[in-house]
Amino acid sequence: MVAAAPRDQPLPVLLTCKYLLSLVLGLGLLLTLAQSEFELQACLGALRIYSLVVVVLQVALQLVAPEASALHPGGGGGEGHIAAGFGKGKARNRAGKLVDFILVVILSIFSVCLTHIVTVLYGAYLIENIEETFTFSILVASLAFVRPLVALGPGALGLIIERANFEEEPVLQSLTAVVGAWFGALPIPLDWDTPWQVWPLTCCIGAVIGEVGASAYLLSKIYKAVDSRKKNKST
Amino acid sequence: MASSDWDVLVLHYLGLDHIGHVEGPMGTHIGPKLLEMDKVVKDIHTALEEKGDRYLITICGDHGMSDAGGHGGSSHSEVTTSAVLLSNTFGKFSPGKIRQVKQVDLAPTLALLTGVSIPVGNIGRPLTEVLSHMGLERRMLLHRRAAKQLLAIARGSGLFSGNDNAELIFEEATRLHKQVLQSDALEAERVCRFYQECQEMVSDALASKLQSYDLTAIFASAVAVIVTFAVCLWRLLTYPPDVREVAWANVCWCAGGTFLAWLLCCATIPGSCVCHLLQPTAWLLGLTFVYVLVMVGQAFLTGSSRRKQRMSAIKPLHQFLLLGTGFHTLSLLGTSLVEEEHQTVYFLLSSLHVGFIISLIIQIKRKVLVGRHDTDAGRHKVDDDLEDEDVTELPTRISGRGSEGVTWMQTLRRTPVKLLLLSVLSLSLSRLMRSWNSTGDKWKHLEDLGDGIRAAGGYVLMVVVLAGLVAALFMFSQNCLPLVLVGCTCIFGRHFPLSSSGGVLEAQFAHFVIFILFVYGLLKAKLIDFKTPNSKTKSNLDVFEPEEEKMTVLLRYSVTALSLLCLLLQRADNIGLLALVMLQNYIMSSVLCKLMGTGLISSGAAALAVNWLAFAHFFYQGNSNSLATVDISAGFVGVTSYRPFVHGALIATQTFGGTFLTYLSYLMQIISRDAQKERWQYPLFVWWTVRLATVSLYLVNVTFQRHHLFILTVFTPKLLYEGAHLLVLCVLTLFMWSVEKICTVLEVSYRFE
Repeated sequence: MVAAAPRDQPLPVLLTCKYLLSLVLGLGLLLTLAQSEFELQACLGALRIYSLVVVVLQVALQLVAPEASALHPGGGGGEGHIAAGFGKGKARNRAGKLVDFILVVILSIFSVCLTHIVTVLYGAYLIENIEETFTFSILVASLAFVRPLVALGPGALGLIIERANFEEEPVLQSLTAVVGAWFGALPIPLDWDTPWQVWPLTCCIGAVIGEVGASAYLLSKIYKAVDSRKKNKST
Repeated sequence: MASSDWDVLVLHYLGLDHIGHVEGPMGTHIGPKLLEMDKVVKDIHTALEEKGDRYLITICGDHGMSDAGGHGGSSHSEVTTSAVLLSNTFGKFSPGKIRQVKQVDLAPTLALLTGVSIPVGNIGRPLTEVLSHMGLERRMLLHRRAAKQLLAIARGSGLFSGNDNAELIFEEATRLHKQVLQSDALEAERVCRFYQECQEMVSDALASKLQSYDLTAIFASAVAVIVTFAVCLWRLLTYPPDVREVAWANVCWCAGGTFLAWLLCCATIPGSCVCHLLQPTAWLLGLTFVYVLVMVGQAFLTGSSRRKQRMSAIKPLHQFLLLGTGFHTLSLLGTSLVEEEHQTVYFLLSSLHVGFIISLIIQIKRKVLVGRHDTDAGRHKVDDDLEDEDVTELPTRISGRGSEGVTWMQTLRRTPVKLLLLSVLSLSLSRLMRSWNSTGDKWKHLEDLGDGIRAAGGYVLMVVVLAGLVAALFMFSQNCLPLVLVGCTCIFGRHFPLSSSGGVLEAQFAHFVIFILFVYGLLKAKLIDFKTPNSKTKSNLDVFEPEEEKMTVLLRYSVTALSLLCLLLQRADNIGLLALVMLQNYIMSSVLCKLMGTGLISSGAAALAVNWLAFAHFFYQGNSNSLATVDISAGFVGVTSYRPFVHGALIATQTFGGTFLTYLSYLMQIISRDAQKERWQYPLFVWWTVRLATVSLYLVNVTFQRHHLFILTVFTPKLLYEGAHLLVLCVLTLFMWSVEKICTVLEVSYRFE
């Protein structure tokens, strides 16, 4: 814990920025959707842009500060695994990184397709509305699957399952996005005939709300950690 | 407006209703729309004034508006609207306070004003202010006419058998009327008032009778269902039950108590149908209350010491199943979710499949990771097919570990990938089946797969029917293949007949074959005892419990016979669907049983999952919660003359056969693995508890909403269906009980030989 403290110093600032940015982005998206009065094409465009921005943000953070995107304080073992995962020794570093990069890209595309298939299996139309279903799968995949892949590398699934700690960043964000999308499906069969009940808007909004909630929770956690550390320092 | 070739003009303006639905009563467009309406009325009024004839403008709404802008409920603002009558015959009539009248009062008013006779059966009374411009004699005559008609309706509906105040008033008014006509007294107003009083009494009595419910019977039934549910829940929580003999003295005490309560109820609230002993209501309620009292007595005697620890470690899957069932039950409180109940069920079922898949993936990965920690912690492979070889390599690596790990590993290593694939297959089947028949209300009109197949007709239909029958043949191939083959051929012949009877002969032959199959199953179950040395292939056949084998055999043949019967009764394109349903039954039953074996889900949770599956299969066939989707043609398959009971039984089999088969296949799977009575009775208890919970909540809701607009179109048909599902469970329970009794009796007779 003491050894980890100096390393944590730049992290809270970066992480705070990251969570704040994702919070702002999520709220911004919701506002945009509401402003456009839920007109379908505009909303689909906004959702795609949001997914892209989210992934770009994660990639940028990964490039700028690789250890910042590692699992949160208490993830010492995880970093060891990642270091090992990125190839043994410095000699293989570049080749290993290239292989990992390609793997991450392939797995991201695979996760988008998987989400699309799962959505169709849940009841989305196979042929009609394929654009809407695909936009929804891009959104959920980028929020829930691509970000952990970028952060943790190709072994993300194994790491998450092994750790299975719901307080940590990648797990929490994936979980809330997926659970939010699941709850977003509940208003679909109601007969209110409102403009936002069109597929896929309710599920997308649910996923974004889940993401915003996760960011807010993580921000509050950092605030508490910083607060307690300040108290520790003062005493 | 200007032309004079019309007498009545009816204008229906939809704008205000539409704006209300979209924006609500406080929307921005409401004001301008109302002004527009004002202008319209003004234009009409001006035009009619210019014309110079006598006119009457009636402005009214057909319903009100709730705060959200919709209507259909029974709130005050939704069922109240306003009516304005403008005429140049009303004289100097300054509008005083607004009077509350019934909507049915408009009809006699307009009828009397225009000279048309009052509609037959109308229970309203004319508005007195509107008739005030007419002469006294005419007014008395019109009021008399209206009162006479209302009294005739009241007499016809048997309303005034004991209470004929209205008749006395009418006679008094008639007497005065004659006096006024003869002697021209100034009592005309009094005559009119008498007539109006008579009208008011009769009209109110008729209106209240229209929406009267037998509240005593409803209340007693709701209480009976709720306490039965409580008893069922108690028995479920203290499972397995302590088998105590029920003393006949206790039953007599309970029966006596119920009888006294019934007497008390009928003394205080007469006129309810509970009090008529010729109707089954009283007997059914009496039986229920006696049973409940006996059970309560037993509960007190056995005490609460048998409360088992079931809440120890509830896994997420269990929580999801419980919460999902609770959500499904609660969703029936809203009309749109009652109409679209199939969406709820499909959604929950898909989520359950995904939950299984995720749990299995986690289990597979966890075992791999546990094994990998000793060895190279380098490359992590994510693809599932690459994991296969890792999983099979596990036992050699961890054979040095504790012994309990090995057995768990060995049971899991053979099955998890297979279970994963089966779950994925079942999910795909669900997706295919849900698009076969679209049901419900909102999206019912969209074309579905069944529509497409029927529209294509010809070869496509034949291929679908053939495929379904061949699949069924493979699934039932081990139950007397020749008979099943003949049955399937007859079913095919029903839709593509070779004989000249148009498929009726084939259908009748199929009925016969199914009956023979069932009898054969009975014989086969019985004959097992008599051929002990070389009969069965099971090596662990214990001679002291042969009924295990017998029950399985009997159930297998019953499932086969019932499946063939259901296949026979379906529409042509639904044969393919039913084959898929049976396939999914088989897959899900074995998946659930294996998952129970590995401890991933408990038997209660598996029973809840089967409940969802049964409901999904109910909806896949195209049934819904409205009576319009019941397939009447199924009642006439192979029946050439009118036999109502036969038709009813066949229609019931076709509608609920899928559900029944789902329950029965699951019980068959459980019994074939372990025929202990407790193992297969537990799911029955779970299903009864869930059904009773749903019915009690729904009954209470319907009782509170009995004045809702959709009470007869949505709520009551659903109540009928819930009752029918309870009956299905009754039939299932009785069937299992009789099967068990047959096998036990046979075993006893074997021992005595």
